[in-house]
This record gives sequence, C-alpha cells and structure tokens, in this order.
Amino acid sequence: MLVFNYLVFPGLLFATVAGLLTWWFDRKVTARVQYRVGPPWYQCFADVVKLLGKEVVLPENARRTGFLLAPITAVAASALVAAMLGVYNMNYGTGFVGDIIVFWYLLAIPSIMLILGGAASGNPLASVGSAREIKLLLSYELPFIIVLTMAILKAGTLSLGGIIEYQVGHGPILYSLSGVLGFIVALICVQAKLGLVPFDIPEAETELGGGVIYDYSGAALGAFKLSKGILFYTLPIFLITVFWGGIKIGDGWGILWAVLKYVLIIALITLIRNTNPRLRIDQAMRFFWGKLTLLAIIAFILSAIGI
Amino acid sequence: MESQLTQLILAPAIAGFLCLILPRVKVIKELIAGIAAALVLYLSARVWSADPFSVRFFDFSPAGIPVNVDFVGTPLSLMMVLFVGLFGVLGVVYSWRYRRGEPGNHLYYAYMLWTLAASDLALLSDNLLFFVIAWELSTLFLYALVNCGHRNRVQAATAGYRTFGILGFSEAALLLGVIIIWTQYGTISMASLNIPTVGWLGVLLYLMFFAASAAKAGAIPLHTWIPSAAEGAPTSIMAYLPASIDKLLGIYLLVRISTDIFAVTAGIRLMVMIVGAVTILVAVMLALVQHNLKKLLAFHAVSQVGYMVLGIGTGTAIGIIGGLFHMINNALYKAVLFYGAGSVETQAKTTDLEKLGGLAKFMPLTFVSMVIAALAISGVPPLNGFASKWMIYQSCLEAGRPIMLIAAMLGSALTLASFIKVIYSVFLGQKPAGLPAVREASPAITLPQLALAILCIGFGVFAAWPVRTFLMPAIGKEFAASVVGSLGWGGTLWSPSLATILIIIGLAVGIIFYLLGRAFKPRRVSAYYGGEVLPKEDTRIPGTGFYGTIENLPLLKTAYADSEKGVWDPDYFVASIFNGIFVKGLKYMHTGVLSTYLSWSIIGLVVIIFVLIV
Repeated sequence: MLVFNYLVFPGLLFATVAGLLTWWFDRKVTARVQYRVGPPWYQCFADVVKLLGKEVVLPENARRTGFLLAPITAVAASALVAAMLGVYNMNYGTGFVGDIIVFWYLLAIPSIMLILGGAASGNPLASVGSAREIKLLLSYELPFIIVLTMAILKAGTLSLGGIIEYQVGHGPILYSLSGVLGFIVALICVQAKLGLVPFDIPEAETELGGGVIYDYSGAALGAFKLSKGILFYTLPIFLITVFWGGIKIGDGWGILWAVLKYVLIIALITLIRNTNPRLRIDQAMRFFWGKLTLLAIIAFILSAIGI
Repeated sequence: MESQLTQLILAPAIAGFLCLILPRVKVIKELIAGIAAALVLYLSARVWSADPFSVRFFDFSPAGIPVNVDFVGTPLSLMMVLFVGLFGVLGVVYSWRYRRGEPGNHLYYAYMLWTLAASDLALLSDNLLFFVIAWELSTLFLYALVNCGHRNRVQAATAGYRTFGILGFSEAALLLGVIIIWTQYGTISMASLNIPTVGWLGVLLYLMFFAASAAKAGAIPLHTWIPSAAEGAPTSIMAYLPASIDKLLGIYLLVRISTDIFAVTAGIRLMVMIVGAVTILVAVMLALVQHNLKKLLAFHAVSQVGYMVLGIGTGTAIGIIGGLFHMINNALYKAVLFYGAGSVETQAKTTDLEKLGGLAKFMPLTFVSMVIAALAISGVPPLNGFASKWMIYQSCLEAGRPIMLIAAMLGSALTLASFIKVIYSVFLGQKPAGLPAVREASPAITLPQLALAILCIGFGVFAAWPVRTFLMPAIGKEFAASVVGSLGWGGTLWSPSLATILIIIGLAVGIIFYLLGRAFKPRRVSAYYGGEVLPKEDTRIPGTGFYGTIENLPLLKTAYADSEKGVWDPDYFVASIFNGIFVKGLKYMHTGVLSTYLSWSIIGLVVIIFVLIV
C-alpha cells in the first residue's frame, strides 16, 4: 500500500501527471498573454518522451556518477513529498510530530541535487549557475522558515496533520491579516523554489544558457524536468495545506473547492512570472533577506498578538 | 568494579609512559597506543554495560570538611566513557598513517593516551576537585597536542597559546566556582549538590561552570581557540579533540549543570538557549566565507555546538536527548570531514580552497565519504544529522521558543551552503594547473573514513536504535519516557528507514527511466563554452567566490570586515587588559633569578605546612 502510495497515487505517477498538466496550463496562459496560440495539452508529456529518445552526452570534465545520480535523486525525493502530502490530506491522523520539518528538508533536496549536478558537470557556466542556486536557496529559506514557524505557532503543533486539523476547527490560517501576509511571503518563496521568473537566476537562459542544467541532455535532463513538474504540483498543494485549510476530500464539493484554490495559486504564480523581469542574484538576496523577511517578521508578530 | 575502573584509568596512563620511554624503534609506539586504546574501549564497554555504581576509593577531611574520592558511574557518564573509548580507538588508528614519519611521535601518542585517562577520570569522578584536576589535565594535553603540529610550527605555537589562554581562563572560573561551593555548601560531591540558580551567588556559580563547559565544547564567545588550532594543529588532533572528546567533556558538564548540579531557572535556560542560537548562526556565517578548508571545518565544529547547547538549554527530555545525540553524530561526521581534509592536505600539500579543485576523479572514496558527511552535517534526511536536529527543533517548540527554531533551521541552510562550497571547490569543478599529482589516500585512512560515513547513514536510517540503546537510559528512563510519544518513529510513510526504502525504490524507477533513455552509456564530448575555444585556466571557477554576494551585502559587509580584524574575539579584549595588568606584574615577579624562585617556593611550603598542621 505504501509503495502504491509512493509510486502511483498520490506519489510519483499522479504527481507527475498533475504537475506536467499544471506546467502546460502555465505555458498556455503565458502564451495567451503574449498573443501566441500556445502548446497543446500533452506538450509537456511529449517533451519528456522526446528527451528519452535523445542521446545523453557527458562533457569531458564531468563526474559521471554524480552527474547522472543527481536528477533521479531529485525525482525520488520530490515524489516522496508528493506522496506524503497527499496521504496526510486524505487522512489527517497519519502525520506525526515534526513532519513539517521533514517536508522543509525534503523540499530542499531537488535544489541540492540541481546544485550538485551542475557542479559535477565541470562547466564554468554551470558552476556559476550552482553558485546562484545555492545563494537563492539561502535567501528564500529565511522568510520561508519564518512564515512556516508562524503557521506552526498558530496551530500550536509541529505536525502537518495537526495544522490541518486546527484549520478545520478554527478556519484557515489564511483568513487573518497575519495569514494573508504569511501566504504572500510563502507564495513568493514558492516562486523562487520553482525557479520561475523573476527568480530563474540559476538557469538564466539568456545569459547562462541554462546554468545548472547547461550540460544536461536526454534522459538526465528529462528527469530534472520531471522533478520540476512534480514540484509544480507539490508546492501549491503544500501552500494550500499549510495556509488554506488543506484539501477536504470528505464531500464532493471539497474537491472542487480544492481545485479552485489550486488553480488560483497557479494563476497567481503565472501572473508573477509574466509581469516581472529577471532579477540579479544580489538583488534577489537583498529582496529576500530585506523586504520579504521584514514582511515575514511583521506577519509573525501580528500572529503572535493574535491578529 | 574497582579493579575495572583502576584498569580503565591506569592502562592508558601507563601505556602513555611506555610510549614515552621505550626506545624509538619502528611501529612500537603505534602498537602500544593501538593496544591501549582498544583495551580502553573494551573496558569502557564493560563498564558501560554494567549497572550504575558508586565506588569510594578513600576519604579525608582537610579543614574539617569531609572529602570523599568517589567514582560514580551514572548512566550519562558511562555513556560518555563508552564514546570516549570509541573515539580514542578511531583517533589512534587514523594517526598511524597520518603521523607516519613525523618527528615527536613518542610524545604525540603519549599525550593522546593520557588524554583518554584524563577524560575518563573527569567523567567518572564525583568529587568536584578531582573533576577539575582531570579536566585541566585534559586541557594541558590538548595544548601539548596542538603543539605537535610540525607542518606549520609558528601557527601551531600561536594556536597552542590561544587554546591554553581561553581554556585556562574558563578553568580558573571553574576552580573558583568549586572553591565557592566548598565554602558555601560544605560539600564538593556532585551527587549531593542541587544549587538553585536564584540570587546572585547561584547565577554566578552557574555562569562559572557554564563558561568552562562552553569553552571546552567551543560555544561562542569562548570558541576562538578552535579555528586558531585548526590552522596549526595536526588534522588528526582536530578530529580527535575539538571535534569529539572535548565536545563529549564540555557537553557532559553542560548536561550535569543543567540537570542535577544546579536547579536551573527559566531565565538561565533562556540564556543558554540564546548562547546556542547565536553560536549556530555566527559561526556558520563565518564558516561561509572561509578560504581554508581546515579553518572552515573548525567554524563548523563551533556552529554544531550551538545545536547541542540549544537542545540541552531547553531542559526538555527530547531536547537533552537530541543534544546528546547531536554530539555523537557530530563526532562521527566531523571525524570523516577532518580525516578527508587531512588526506587532501597530505596529497595536495595545501588546504587553500582557491588552489584545490577536481579531486573527485583522483580520490573517489574520500569524495564519497565527504559528500555523505557534508549532507549529514547539513541535516539532510535520512542521515544522522537530520535525526538529532529534528529532535532539537521539536524541543525548541516544546520550550515555547519559536525564534530559536527559526535560528536553528536557518543555521542548517547556511551549513548546507557552506559545504556545497567545500564539495565544489575541493572535489568538483576543474583541477588547477599548479596542483601536484594527487592519488587516493591509503586504505588505512579511507577505510575507517568510509566506515564512519556508513555509520552516519546507519544512525540516521535506524535512528531509533542509538536513541533507545544509548541515550534514553543515559538521561534516566522516567525522564526519557515522555519522549517516546513525540518521536513518532514508524508513522505512516515517514520513518527514516521506510522513507529510505521508498527513496531507493524511487531511484530504481529512475534507473529504469535511464535505461529507457539509454543514459548509462553517455557519449563523452569535449566541453562546450558557448562556442568559444578557451584556454583551460580560463574555464576554471574557484568555489571561493561563491559567496562574494553575501560578503558584500549591506551590514554584513561591515561585520565581516570587523571579524577579519578579530574585533569580535573575546581574547582581543581580554588580552589587552591582561597585558596591561597581569603580564607586567608577572614580568616584574619573574626575574629569572633562581634564588628568588626558590625562596618563594619555600615560603609557599611553609604556609602550606602551617595551614595543614595548625
């Protein structure tokens, strides 16, 4: 059963399908905004299949094992997050004390693997990308931790199941001033976690030509795409779970309502991505450690005094 | 039990003398040290598996106050004894190869063994006076061992002074504390003390003891000796003392003073927690910008202490267990990291990150074990660092201090960043032209290193085992009982071992994916730099520049510049006062004339005899 949860539903397979569809949605909306037709719904799947058919090349300076291991580790870890998140949302009691910390760490693993993979390729452009990715990770983690702690403190428990239960009893955390602020902060952090504009600094196609994934090709690149796809589905669900009352599977309307929340969050992410230019890494750091952390602290203080 | 205890302490002490006096024949010192260390480990294990005990060796009553020389094996101290034995063996085995052919090895091994004896004595004595003596002996040997660094003589000597200065200062405080306790409470038996930390005297006494434990373990602001020592001391010693045995001693004292010698109030707890949180953050920020591998690791040795201090400071059962667990884990992965740094130093003749790179190809075993240790120290699940940090995080919340939780979690992210830099600059990237030919270190070094790395995985994946076997008994079963609930091992879908299996399944799926994409036979192609043909040196990006952005952020820029000048180091202030008052006075007294010294000695002797007789 656990293996099924992990591999099929709500883990690897389901999360991949949902994530790639979400990615397509994002691409389609972006295309419509730019007066283009946009890709058909199966485009992201076709991309992955096409990558499977392509040859994998390894640059001469690259470390083979690390280079190939990084992408699939990223997929395995992100699928684990997706599976755990799905199971907890279906059955609140399955969580345990401290699981939110596990989520925080597991969500960082795909980034770590991007960094290690980029570093293992031995290419200077990928090295610059790796350096940027780790700096970006550092910058968004500070406000992200603060708002997570705010939610933990509000619910008075370190377990995600407990946070959902609290929201069932007291209404979602989002429906308060501090909740709104915290949600905004977390949403921007998710944008950076996904590496979307304005935070696509590590990949920066136009200047680094892909940065961390510069040297990746074929199935290895496909695995990184899959991992990003899974995160595209997982991170919004994580936001909904922590701040917006979780997904209530119980009655029929619950699922519809959950899908609405999900689409709204994706729409916000797409909106941010289409209305902002890419930042420089030092600007991003200053933004996250300055303005956004300040906002997070304000949210934290507001929640401490109960607003 | 008495004979076992005597053997436990006498065996390494005598073996140390043997190392010192036996003729300098090949391998004899190594052999003696190895046998003695193994014997200590065996005896420690026997003592540990026995029941708690209390043995009175002798008693006397100077000045009317009864002094009992008791050796008390509490579960906590016995666990510490066991791990001292373990790290003793590891340290000696690693030194065989690392110290081969270095001058002064007879002294080196003697000091190492005496350190074992002194540490065990400190851990087992119930009498505070004996405790202080053993504690100071271990500092003395530490000083001597730091000075065994023959590769950079001058730095080793400077580091030795600094070590001795800071630890000596804190131990003076400890001794003063013991004297005050003796006069105020009429006993110096640890077991019979339970001093409330109310009123200025209680708080002062606690602070004196806390200073000693913080300096030994290396918490801010008494940490500066560790980074200094890292520059000069032999790497084997860095792994042996500051990273493992000194941590055991410091944390042992901290646990004792936080749980039974003092009855700690909430205010003191908060102070300890603040020291822990500040240590985590400041040390890791400093580690982030280091350019020398050994110094960088030393700052992490400091930063990790912060987690232990923070966990123990919460005073909750889960916090104390988490702190102790972190201490053990830290010794494991820090040993791997220091051993790796030692191998890199031996092979590449430098630990300057700027001059290293691309070593993974030549030192694959060192590389793999260091990556595991680096991920473990950053607390990536399911490795051991995660298990203990996870418990410490919970304790922060249980103690009602969410700010500490934020500091600790951010510290983890920064640790990760700092180790990404290490892995990249030493092992990945490209090999610089000036680097000599490098090959893998000898199996005598890589095998223990790999074994420790596997332990790092094992203690994470099967974290429940060390917690139940060593730690829960160590703090008392009743106290620890409250932890079982909050551990939640074996919850659905996440227990460390289950998650590991799932990740492995995920990797298997990934491998199938790769098979579909024929990724296992990649074609080697020449590197592509956007179409440019570049000379090799132009394509190398050293990892030292990774965090230039952070160094140049407003506010941090000034702080880093100041710390570079040493403005934040406590000995910077202390030394200036010290120089003004004490040194000049001492200079005046120490004329170097033998007759003056002799007359002082005789005066002292007369005073002692007078006090004892009258």
